[in-house]
Order: sequence, then structure tokens, then C-alpha cells
Amino acid sequence: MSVITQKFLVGIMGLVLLGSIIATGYLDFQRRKKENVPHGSEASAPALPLSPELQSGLKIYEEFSCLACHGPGGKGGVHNFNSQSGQEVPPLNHVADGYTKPELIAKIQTGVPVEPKLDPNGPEPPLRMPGFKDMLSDAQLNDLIAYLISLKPKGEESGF
Amino acid sequence: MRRLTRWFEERIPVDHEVLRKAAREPLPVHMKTWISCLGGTPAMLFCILAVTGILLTFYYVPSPAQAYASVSNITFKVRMGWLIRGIHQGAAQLMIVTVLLHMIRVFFTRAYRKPRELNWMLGVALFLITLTFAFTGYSLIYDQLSYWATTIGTNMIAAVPLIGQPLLYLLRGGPDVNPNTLSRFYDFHIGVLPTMMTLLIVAHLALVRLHGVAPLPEDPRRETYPFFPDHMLRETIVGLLLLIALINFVMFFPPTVGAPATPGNTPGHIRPEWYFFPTYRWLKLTSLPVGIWGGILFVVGLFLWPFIDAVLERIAPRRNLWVIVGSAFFLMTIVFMLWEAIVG
Repeated sequence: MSVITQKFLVGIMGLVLLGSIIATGYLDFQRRKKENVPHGSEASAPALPLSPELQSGLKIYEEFSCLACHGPGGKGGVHNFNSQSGQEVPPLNHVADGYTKPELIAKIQTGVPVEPKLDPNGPEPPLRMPGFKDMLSDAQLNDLIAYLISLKPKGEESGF
Repeated sequence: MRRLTRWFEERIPVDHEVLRKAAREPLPVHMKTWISCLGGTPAMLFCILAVTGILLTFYYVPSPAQAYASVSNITFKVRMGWLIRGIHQGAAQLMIVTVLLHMIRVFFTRAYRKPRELNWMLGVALFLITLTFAFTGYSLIYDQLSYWATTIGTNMIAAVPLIGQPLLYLLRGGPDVNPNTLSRFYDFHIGVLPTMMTLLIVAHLALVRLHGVAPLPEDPRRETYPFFPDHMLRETIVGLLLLIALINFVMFFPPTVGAPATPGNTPGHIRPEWYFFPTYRWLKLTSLPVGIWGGILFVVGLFLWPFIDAVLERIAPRRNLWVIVGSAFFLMTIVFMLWEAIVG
């Protein structure tokens, strides 16, 4: 086979390769459309499956409406006008740093009956945390606390 | 353009005539057959594997909790993820096939003889690294079959005399398959093995260039042809053909994932990938110690084959013992592979 023929073959094959890549791109587009794969869903792998204890904790977090004020994943962000905590309901994803387990239990059971005001002369903050003393069993409290501690963002653990 | 070329020439003071000469290295005319392209094919497949492998690492998570989910994510959600994973998988299998075919060609043309013994040994090392690549890569999927293949595969390492236990511990990161095992296999697969392979490929090619391509025994032709562009074009055609075949194969047979790994639940029928079928059948036919010793002897024999052949040649000069030994092993491998594939 002469060099000219070989060069010609390389050119033809380059075109076939390009055609194959375009065909696979089209196939991928059609498949995503058919299966309704949401745009950007590939950005991260599915969330880590939770242990039974953490799953139970998450369920309590949702059912007892902690989620409504402290936000998904305890990230906070709900506005609470004139509250001392930056006029927002405080996030919970760093409770592992500021509280011991007995302190957390006490906090959940008693809640925050009077929300401290940012401006003493201003109005009462509209949101305050209720106490859950008689509403949660010890096991439920333990699961909820385990879940709250697990919310600490990954990569922020201390040590190597 | 000319100014740009001169700019580079001034800053890279290399004699261009030397480079031109090196690129146009004369090759014996018997290399003009397509089967002679088999030597360059694994190198091209290695490049394809490196590129697709890097793309896969963008989404793969090497932790037991997330590995399976991330492979599934790559296969079903990531844009063109199925294609990249399919090409990676297919190229890995093709690499084993082409390395084997290249070794068979080198064996039956006796291209390993003096002074090319060291290059044969480098080639055997490259073959073993290719198999290790396949084993570690398969383990990363973390579905039932890959998990149990890893467990059983690493169990066998324990039976290797002297170094078995420490080697097992090094690979697993503990006495059993545990979260460390996946991290270590991942490290080997994307770090240690590619580095070793790149260095060995460079050494292998350097020795081919230094010695020149081995002449065919009893071939009277003395004509040559240049590596560039003639042979280079031939290799490019083979590379493009493989890539087109791979893409089209994946288009019709996209990759899938099995059931997620469940460490406590051993599946009923565990089998390694096809390239380990001969070894698996051999181990089934013998006891574990005999099987392992047989395997070690085979690998050592393969490494030292050029020297063994020289001894056989001295003992019986006209008997062509190398053909008999080579054909016997080749046939045995094929029979064991088919036996395992059909009977299972």
C-alpha cells in the first residue's frame, strides 16, 4: 500500500471517527431526553446513604419541623427579624463544634423561650425555638443529635 | 510561521538532522505486514485508556459507600459517561488481546534472542502490569461480582510462598477486604501502575530503537523502509480503526452495572474476567499450593524464556524445541480458557 493511499485512508478514518463521535453525542442527547435526566444532575454522585440511626434522625428533623426554620441539612438561612443571631435562625451544621451532647439535649428539651433581641427597643423576633421535652423519647433524641452532629461539612474534620 | 519555527529552534538547540534521521529509522521490509503493527497498538490503547481514565476520575468516588453509586452515576447520568466508561472497558480488554498477540508474534519469530533478551523481559513485565491494571480496575466498580472477584483474587495472593501474607496485607490494607482496600486499589490503578507502565514502555521502545527491529529468521530480504511516514501511517490507521470500532461497539452495547456489593452475601456463581479463565481453570484442576507454584514457575519461565531457549538449542540443536514448548503452552492456554468459558 503506497504512502498516498495510507494518507487517504487516515483522512477517511478521521471522518468516520468524527461521524461516530457525533452519532454518540446525538444518541446521548436522545437518551437523556427520553429518560428525562435533569440538566446538571451529573454534577455530583448521589448523596451518601445514611446509616439507620442517621436516617431516623433525619426523619425526626423533618417531622418535628426543625427543617422549616433551620433549613435543609441544617444550613439555616430563614429570616428572623431583630434576633441576635444575625436576624436569622441559626444554622445547625456546626453544632458539633459548639455543644456537648448533654448541652444539645438540654437545648432541644427546653428550646429558647425568649429569643434575645438585637435592638432592645425593637419588636420581638417572630420565631423562637419551642421545647421538645415531652415530645421526643430518649432514643429519638439520640438519633436526632447523631444526625445534627453528622451535618458538619465534610473536609472540616480535625486531624489528618 | 517561519519566525515562530526559528524562535523554537533557537531555544531548543537540537540538531534537526538527527531528529529527522531518528524519525526515518529504516525498518526491515517484513514489518510491512499488518500483524507487525501489534507492537505499537498496545501503546496507542494505553493512551486511550489514560485519557478516558482521567475523565472517569472526574466523577468516580473511591469509597465503599459511594463507589458503586458513582459508577452508576457515570453510566446513567453523566453526559457521555457511558461512552467514556465503555471505551475504557473495551480498550482495556483489547489491550490484553493485543499484548498477547504481540507476545505470540515475538515468540514465534524468536525475536527475543540475543541481544534482545532484556527487552523480552521488559515485555513480560508490561504484560503482567496490564493484567494487574485489569484486576485493580475491575475491582473499582464495586458491584457484587467485582467485590467478590477482588476478595477471591486477593485470597490467592496469601498462598504465595514467603511474601504472600505481607503482600496481601499491603494490597488490602488489613487482613480482610475493607474500606482501605478500595483506596489502595484505586491508588495502584491510577498512580503506581500508570507510572510503572509509562517508564517500562519508554525503556521497551528505547531498546527496540537501539537494537533495531529483529530480522525474521530465514528471511533473505534486506530491503528497508522508513518508520516515518510509512510505518507511522500504518500504526495511525490501526489506532483509528480500533477507536472507531470501540465507539461503535459501545454505541450498540453500552456498559451496565450489576447489583451493588454486599460484603456479607456471597453470590452463587463467582467467575473472574475472561483473561483470568486459564489461571482459574488451572487452579480448579490442582490444589492451591500446586496451582500457585505452577503459576510462579510459569511466570519465571516466561521471564527467562530467552535463556531457556538458548539452553534447549544447545541440548537439541535441530529439534526446534522452542516451537514444541511454545505451541504446547499456547494450546493449553486456549483449551483452559475455552474449558472455563463453556463449562464454567
